[in-house]
Amino acid sequence: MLLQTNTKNIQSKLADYCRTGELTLTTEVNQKHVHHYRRLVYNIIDDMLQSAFPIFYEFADTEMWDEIVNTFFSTHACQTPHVWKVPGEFYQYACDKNLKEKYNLPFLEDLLLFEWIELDIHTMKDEEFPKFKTYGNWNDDVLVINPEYRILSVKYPVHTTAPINIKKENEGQYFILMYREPKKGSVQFLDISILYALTIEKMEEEKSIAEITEELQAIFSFEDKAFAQEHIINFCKDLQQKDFILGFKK
Amino acid sequence: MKSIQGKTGIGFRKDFAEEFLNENILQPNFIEVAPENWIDMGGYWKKIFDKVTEQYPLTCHGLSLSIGSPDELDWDFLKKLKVFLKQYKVQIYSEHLSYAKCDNAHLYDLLPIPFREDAVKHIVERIKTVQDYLEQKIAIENVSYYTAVAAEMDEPTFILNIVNESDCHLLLDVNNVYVNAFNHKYDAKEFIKKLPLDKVAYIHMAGHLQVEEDLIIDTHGENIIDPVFDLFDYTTCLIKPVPVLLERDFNFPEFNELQGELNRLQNICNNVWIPQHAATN
Repeated sequence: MLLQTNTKNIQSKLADYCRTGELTLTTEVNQKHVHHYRRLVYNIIDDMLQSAFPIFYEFADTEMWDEIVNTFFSTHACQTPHVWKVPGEFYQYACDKNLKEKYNLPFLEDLLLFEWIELDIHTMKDEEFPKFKTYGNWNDDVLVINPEYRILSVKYPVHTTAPINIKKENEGQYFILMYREPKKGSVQFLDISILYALTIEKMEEEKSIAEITEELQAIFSFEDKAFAQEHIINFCKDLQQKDFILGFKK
Repeated sequence: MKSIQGKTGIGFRKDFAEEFLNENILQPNFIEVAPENWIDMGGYWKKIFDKVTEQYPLTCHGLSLSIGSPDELDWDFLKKLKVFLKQYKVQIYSEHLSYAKCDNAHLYDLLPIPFREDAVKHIVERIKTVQDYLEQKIAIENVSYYTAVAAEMDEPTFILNIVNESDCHLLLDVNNVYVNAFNHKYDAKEFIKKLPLDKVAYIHMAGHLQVEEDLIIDTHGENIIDPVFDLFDYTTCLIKPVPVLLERDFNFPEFNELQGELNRLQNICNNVWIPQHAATN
């Protein structure tokens, strides 16, 4: 290392000041103007998080928001060179530090996950789309799905209910299908049941609806298996209309 | 590849991407992006990026290399950067003479480096390493700064030594010279004359905002003011033709207004560099 310890320490103290707002440099910097660095750096993070988590930002009061962002930036060492990926680190930080307990917001992790994944799917690297044919047999062919998706499992209905209206008694198990619409690139999300979440998971394993229904029979003990299969097919046809199911495997 | 020497370009921003592609009002000769904002990007924005880079030559101006950082270079990032620069046939890759990462934490903004001999040696070594790895010269930009930090030499000496010893190019940001001359009370023209002008490969121009009686911030959110145009005119007379970029990051005016700024820059380039070129041929 060609950099001397003294120089390195000065650089470290300036960077630390930008993260924490606590200035330990004295004569090394212009005391009148150095605060602009803290302001400019902090605003970049604050703006990024505001735009990534608009629902939580709207819900949180200013004091809570500022405290969370300030503590995050002061104590978490951002690892990504891409500022637009910082919200992913923020979500993980909120989980690691158990902010939902601290602020008595049981739905907080679910809400941050929902908002982050929407952004993540919108910007994620393009996946290679498999080849497919438009027509086929809904029962026996393997269905081809849009590879740019995630299924979230959450405890609170953050995708259907405004945070202010979410109560403890809303706690349950909710599944959200989120995917990138292939033509426009916009992110779509659907509230789906556990049956449909498992159906999609099994489609990923290249199983036909007939095979999937058979496997799900063991879990759900359908009274009328044929009716259940038709029900799943109707769901899949709807997903084809919505550009999630692309077609049938060639 | 279409030459962009002596031509004017604009920083391509998502804020005006659609309008830019759908209308023909703003007509730069090339565009510039921060690679960090596009590497690993897919979906809608990748489609837009692919479309615009098919139409315009591209330069890149980095934000996260953190060439002045005490931390190790980020090799994972450099690997992706190298692929990106090749994939999009990037004509110039530049970075800031500053640091944006320290103690293993990114800051996403440009902090001033102490103007010191050990910092020169440290940065020279890092620039050489980056140039060897990328297999191309990089251009280093003189940054605006709002406080000197424990300086032991003056700024032009700091820049000169780094550029000469690392054999890199200089991205001369004329607005930054103006801003720094105001903030640190020196003569902008004298400052420019002290720089390694034979190494200038790229020029940046931008607007700024005076926030205190004795402080200007380099915001990229205002129009270029006349004294900065004058300084640009002065600078072009001292150097060979290079690409000139208009940086505008927010508070965007109508495209006609941006094009007006581009036209004014291009006219200055043409007035100085076309006769100069003719005289040497």
